[in-house]
Amino acid sequence: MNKPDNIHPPGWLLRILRCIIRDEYVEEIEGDMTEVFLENADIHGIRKARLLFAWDVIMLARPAIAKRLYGTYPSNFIAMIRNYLRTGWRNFVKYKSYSTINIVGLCTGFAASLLLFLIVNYERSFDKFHQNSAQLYRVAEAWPDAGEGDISDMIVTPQAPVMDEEYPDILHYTRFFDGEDILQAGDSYRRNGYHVVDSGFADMFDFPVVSGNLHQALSTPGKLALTQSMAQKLFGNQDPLGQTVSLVSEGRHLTVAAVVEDPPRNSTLQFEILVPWASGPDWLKPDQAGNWYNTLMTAYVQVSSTITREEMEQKLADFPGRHFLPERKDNKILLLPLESMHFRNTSSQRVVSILAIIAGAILLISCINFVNLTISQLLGRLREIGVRKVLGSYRGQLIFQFMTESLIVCTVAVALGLLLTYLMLPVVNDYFGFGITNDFLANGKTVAFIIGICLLAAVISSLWPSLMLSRLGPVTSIKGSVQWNKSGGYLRKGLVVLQFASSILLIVGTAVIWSQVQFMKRQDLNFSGNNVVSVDSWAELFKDPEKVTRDFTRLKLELVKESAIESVASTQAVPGNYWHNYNGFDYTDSAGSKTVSLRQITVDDQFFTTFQMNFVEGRTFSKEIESDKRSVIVNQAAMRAYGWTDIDNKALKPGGQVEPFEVIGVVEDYYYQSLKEEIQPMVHFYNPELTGVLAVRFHPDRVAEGLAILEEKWNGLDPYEPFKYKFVDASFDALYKEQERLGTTSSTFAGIAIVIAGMGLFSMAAYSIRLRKKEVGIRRVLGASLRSIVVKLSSDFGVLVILGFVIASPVAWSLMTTFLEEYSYRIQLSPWIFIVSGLVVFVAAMLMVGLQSRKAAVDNPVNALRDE
Amino acid sequence: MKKTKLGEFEELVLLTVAVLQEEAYGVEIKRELERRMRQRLSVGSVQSALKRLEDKGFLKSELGEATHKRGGKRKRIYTITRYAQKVLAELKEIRAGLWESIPQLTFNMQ
Repeated sequence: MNKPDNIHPPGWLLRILRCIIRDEYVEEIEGDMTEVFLENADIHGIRKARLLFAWDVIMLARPAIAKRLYGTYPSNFIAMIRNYLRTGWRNFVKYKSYSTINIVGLCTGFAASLLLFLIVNYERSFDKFHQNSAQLYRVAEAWPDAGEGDISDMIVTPQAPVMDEEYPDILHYTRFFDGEDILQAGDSYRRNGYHVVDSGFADMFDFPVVSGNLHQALSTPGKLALTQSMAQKLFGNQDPLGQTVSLVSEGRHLTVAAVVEDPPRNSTLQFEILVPWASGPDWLKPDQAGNWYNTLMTAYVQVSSTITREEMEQKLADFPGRHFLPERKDNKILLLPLESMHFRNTSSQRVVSILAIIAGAILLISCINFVNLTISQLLGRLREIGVRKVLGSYRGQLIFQFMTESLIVCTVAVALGLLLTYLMLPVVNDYFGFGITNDFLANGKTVAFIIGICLLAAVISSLWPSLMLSRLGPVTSIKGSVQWNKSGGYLRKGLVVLQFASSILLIVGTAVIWSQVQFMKRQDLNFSGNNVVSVDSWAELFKDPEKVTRDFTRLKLELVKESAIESVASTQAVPGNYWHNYNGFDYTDSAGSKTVSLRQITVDDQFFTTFQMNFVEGRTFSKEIESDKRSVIVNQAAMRAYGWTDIDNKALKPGGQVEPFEVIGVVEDYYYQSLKEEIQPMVHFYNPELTGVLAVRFHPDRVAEGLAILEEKWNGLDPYEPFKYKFVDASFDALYKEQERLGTTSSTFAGIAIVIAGMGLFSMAAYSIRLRKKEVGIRRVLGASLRSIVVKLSSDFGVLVILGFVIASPVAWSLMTTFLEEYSYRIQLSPWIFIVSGLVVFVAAMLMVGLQSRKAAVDNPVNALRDE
Repeated sequence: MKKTKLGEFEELVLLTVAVLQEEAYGVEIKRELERRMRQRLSVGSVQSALKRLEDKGFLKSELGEATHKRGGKRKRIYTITRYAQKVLAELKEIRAGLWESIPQLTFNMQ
């Protein structure tokens, strides 16, 4: 046993003890604690004694013996805070316009950044709700010489099951085939999409099951699963389990065996009906032709957690060589993480980054306003500062006081900003198609963000002014004779320059986005969708498909006879809505063979006429020429891809077929998708009996009449669902919806930013003109004209705007160049966009300042010069 | 004894101080209480009770001698005030009265 001399309580614990305990009790209690410690050390050994000691120290934190929180000695700390709050409030009320500008600016900036934070959080949450989401991958494929992003994530039918069979590291798989059919439930029919999946779906994904057994539903032929809202649509309030749903054209009668919750908005996989693979359409069966070359569906796999994605891709490297068709044997199989699918599929990443720039700019502008206004306001309170100093205020106390006041303003602004966010959230959700819920205050991260922003804004904006002002000697501040235009002036001017730079940036951005949208809309598409409507008319949409197939040609002929209708065509799809349907086509000549992947579509003989497309070579399909069924028409891009100069004796052999198709014509490149995308090489097949989509061109003055005739004739075919049509030009324009949304958003926020920056400038001008009141008075007395005084006072600010323009232009230039790079067909950035944006801001600023200077200049000089 | 609040633990501490007489300082009070209550107490709980009692005027104290085993710190010896004696006596009387009033029968049935 150690002698008591050598052992004593740990020093750091004693220091803590002295911190906790009131000074007057330290001696007694430290003595007691030491005595207990030594006793414990004797009984239990030193290690346990230390533990007990530490525990006792913690237990010392009791109100009766611990130090009072507000100081060792009774102090006036609370009273001072009360005083700060009171003075803060008085100043807040006294300068109503300053405070309002401050709060409005901050609250907007705060709401903008909070919204952005929520959006980013939401975008990141995609597909994370599956328990194994990190091990889930979408199967994709890349051509050997493919560049970044040139990846196909559609696969051939047998690929996923064979992969699952051959590689034990693939735990589960499911294909996800997107089909559409007429559904029959009871006596009602509806056209609806469905998905054919494998039983692995139930093992891999965690969509909550409401009733029934999902795994059983997806592994048993003759069963299917519905989402809750689909079950509601089909069966109302009846119990859906055990009911029959028929896929009419596939001739399947399936029993509902499970009901799952609707997939959440932040799920990439969206579905309403899940059909087990065994009950899917016949042409998906393993023995059907086209198995290994028709890429029809997406597929997902769950990879064992013991293996990384790269290792798995490495293992899969030999798969194409063993199974794929000759031209695809060198392809590489890729695994795309499910968690990243959302950003791959949508352009939301770009929307988010643009919103980030906007929110950042607004927050910056409003914080700068805050700083500038705080400085102006504090300068008006120099006497108060002086008096406080004389009465014994420490510098730290003054700084603390100013920060408290800033914090008040920030807190009010944040509260209002929260309200604004709540109001804006439904609008934002609706507009951008987000599913952000309004329970965001329940999320700890969000709350931390809100408090963080509030404190940050308060501290940053009050730090500089309070440091500067509290440094002044009491005499200087009481006399109020500080020259601020020296050092402080530069900072404030710099901030104003930054504000204008951000505003100009936002305006330029808005202008560029809008001009790009206008450019895309006005571009000559090389086809005409005016007065053309499209009507989905697949034979399966009618009650007697065979009769419709027989009658369709007759219907088209009847329609064309009407004088209100100029031409009628049937096609697989209309421009703006083409399928992603590709195949490799071989061209062989004396020099060898060349394969190009062509986008394919099937049309009838009237297609090119109806859309008024131009031919650069050859002719369109003809009903009279029987061999046209074995011929194709390509576009100019395809001609370039093969390196042809003419189409004499040219023929293309599609992958998976033996006989080549003769090329009979070349159509001028027309834009069949958004101008964001480049025109790809295309091939058109001919099928005179095609039902598909009916495209009807009306006489320009008789559209309504033509529509009525069309509806009547179409209804004569006995469809399941009522007549529905779309104007082709309108649906093409709808492709630019996202760009237009961006345009509207950025113009709204650019407007807000300008107003906030303008208000800041307004108050700063007001302040600096007040400082120069006497100067203005003297100038007036000496006979200066009103105009010359206004120009004199405004020119200072004009320089700031010009500086802002100089800073913003290169930044805007590079940002906008990046933005435009995404568009294959884009506008040239013209300097005019910049000059006009700069001018707008300049004029707005001059108007603000001019009004203020005018007010000062027309004032009677006597008022300014009198000195009492 | 109208306005005085004396907690259960405070009453025990007060009585212990009365028992220990000149020996009544922090650690000794704690030790005595631990022995009688058969449970471990922290220094803080005893000390805070002592300080509250002193505030309420039940105890007075003065500094005693320093010893080596206290790391050279002095003890504070507590004594109960006249007022405390009166309050304790009153409390005892009230309790005794109540005990006597409990019907014998009921009590035995427990």
